[in-house]
Amino acid sequence: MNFDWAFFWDSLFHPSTAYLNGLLLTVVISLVSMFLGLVLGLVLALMRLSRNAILRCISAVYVWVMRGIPILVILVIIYLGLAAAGIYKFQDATVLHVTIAGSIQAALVGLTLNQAAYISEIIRSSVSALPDGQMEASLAMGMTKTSAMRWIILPQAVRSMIPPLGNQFNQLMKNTSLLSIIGVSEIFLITQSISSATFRTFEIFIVTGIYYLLLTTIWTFAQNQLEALFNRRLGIPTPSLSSRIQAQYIALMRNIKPSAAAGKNGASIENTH
Amino acid sequence: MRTHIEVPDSDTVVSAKDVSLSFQGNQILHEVSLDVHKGEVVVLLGPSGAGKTSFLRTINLLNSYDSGEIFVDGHLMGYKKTKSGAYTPDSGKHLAEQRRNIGFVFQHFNLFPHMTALENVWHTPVRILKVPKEQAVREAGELLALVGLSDRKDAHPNGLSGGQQQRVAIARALAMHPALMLFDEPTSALDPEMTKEVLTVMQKLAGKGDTTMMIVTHEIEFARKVADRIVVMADGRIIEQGPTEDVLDRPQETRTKEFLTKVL
Ligand SMILES: Nc1ncnc2c1ncn2[C@@H]1O[C@H](COP(=O)(O)OP(=O)(O)OP(=O)(O)O)[C@@H](O)[C@H]1O
Ligand SMILES: [Mg+2]
Repeated sequence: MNFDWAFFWDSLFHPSTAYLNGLLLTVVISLVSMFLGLVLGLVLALMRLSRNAILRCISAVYVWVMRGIPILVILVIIYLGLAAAGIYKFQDATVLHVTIAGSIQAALVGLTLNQAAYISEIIRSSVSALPDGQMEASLAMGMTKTSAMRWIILPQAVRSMIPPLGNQFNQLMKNTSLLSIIGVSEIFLITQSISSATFRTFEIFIVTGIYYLLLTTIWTFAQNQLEALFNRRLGIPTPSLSSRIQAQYIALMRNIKPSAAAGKNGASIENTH
Repeated sequence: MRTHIEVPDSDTVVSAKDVSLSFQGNQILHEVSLDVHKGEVVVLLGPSGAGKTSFLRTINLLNSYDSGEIFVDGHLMGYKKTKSGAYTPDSGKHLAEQRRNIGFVFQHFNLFPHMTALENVWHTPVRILKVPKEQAVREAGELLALVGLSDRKDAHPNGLSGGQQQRVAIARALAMHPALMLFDEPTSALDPEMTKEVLTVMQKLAGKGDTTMMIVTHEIEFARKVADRIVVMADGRIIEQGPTEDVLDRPQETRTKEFLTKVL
């Protein structure tokens, strides 16, 4: 086997500045497009839940289109397609002394449009899953539908949104590797260039795999903290780590979805021990 | 647009006139008329499916009705009075304001689970009525004391028993200083012990004499203690009504007699 261990360790523990910048770009693009996707997704979800049939229809069509087209195709249309057709060309722009490449702007737009479609479905289903009694009680207290959404419905729906939104963000971080196709120098593109300069394809891509794994793992921990925070706000005891592991194990043995088992059995398992 | 509507006198808190309601072609309420006066406690009885819940929900327009008029505290529910004296439909902000004058206590409590008991009570006065928070929190504390829950004010609803949740729900409704309190089977989701604690609170409220209340319940002994008047419904109509003892001890209608023998 031809595996350059020295190169591997060096790349892993002493990554070049270009490499670290690529990693940073991956993280920043993920965070920004997640944030913008949340904003647009919330708007789409509220449109979908509104009484106005036209708004509902626009939102539904948007989600249908965006979920039906691969993100790669959307990115190419936005960055290369629009420019080729002479409709719009993303130019480098300087905002607050930071120059943002045209390709990065296109990436943010594409990812945001794509994320928003999925996020709006997550928000919509979390809101619909709340018992009708919550909206009724809010109306009976004299809130308008808008106030009820603001104070009662959305704050509760957020709790059940966190796991699917977390998965969405996890997916997004990995999907940023697709941005290499439009020339965004995120970590995947940097890795490719190191690979073609050194011919150490196997080593450097394993290093990059490890970095992606590191990012998604850190996120998983952050997501657990967020869930625990919201559980505390709702007065739900968060199952301890050991009871959650047991629930996962039992779920595996019974071949059912772990999350459902953790939710239902987490607390009771804790009690029996 | 409606014109020529006679506004009930100021002593009449609820005035329902010929209220009809249907769901998907089934008529649920048939021209129901009922007046409730200031400070009066009215208990609604009747078999399952009689339309008691539907009637209460129609009063604060959680159901929209097909025809008739409902006045609460002198305001035609769901309508806004224009300068010319005519009424135009309004189901938005104006209806919300009208509902602030009506407290509704649900069978399944419907507390806001993301808030503590105390927050459930002060939330709407502060966020919607813009009452200064300090004042609203103090008042919320007093209301929780009234329902006997001072020691549980920082608990979240899912840390409270059903009876405790229902008492918080009563305090929450009272925090809006409503002219009218509606109770839809407030104890039928509770076991006997918890039922007692909720009924005790309601009795205390009724005893103060300044709260106008309409209560749907199957607790006949409780009704006997608190009600000024009993209204019996069946098949979407009021079939009998009168002073509590008259209806409970000397019912006139066969169906009232049948119903009372079943629940007693
Ligand atoms: N949202 C609805 N859609 C269709 N039908 C309804 C709806 N709500 C109530 N009904 C029907 O209206 C009728 C009266 O129901 P309602 O709940 O008002 O009766 P009730 O007197 O409160 O009975 P209970 O003692 O069982 O609570 C029933 O036949 C019921 O099936
Ligand atoms: Mg009912």
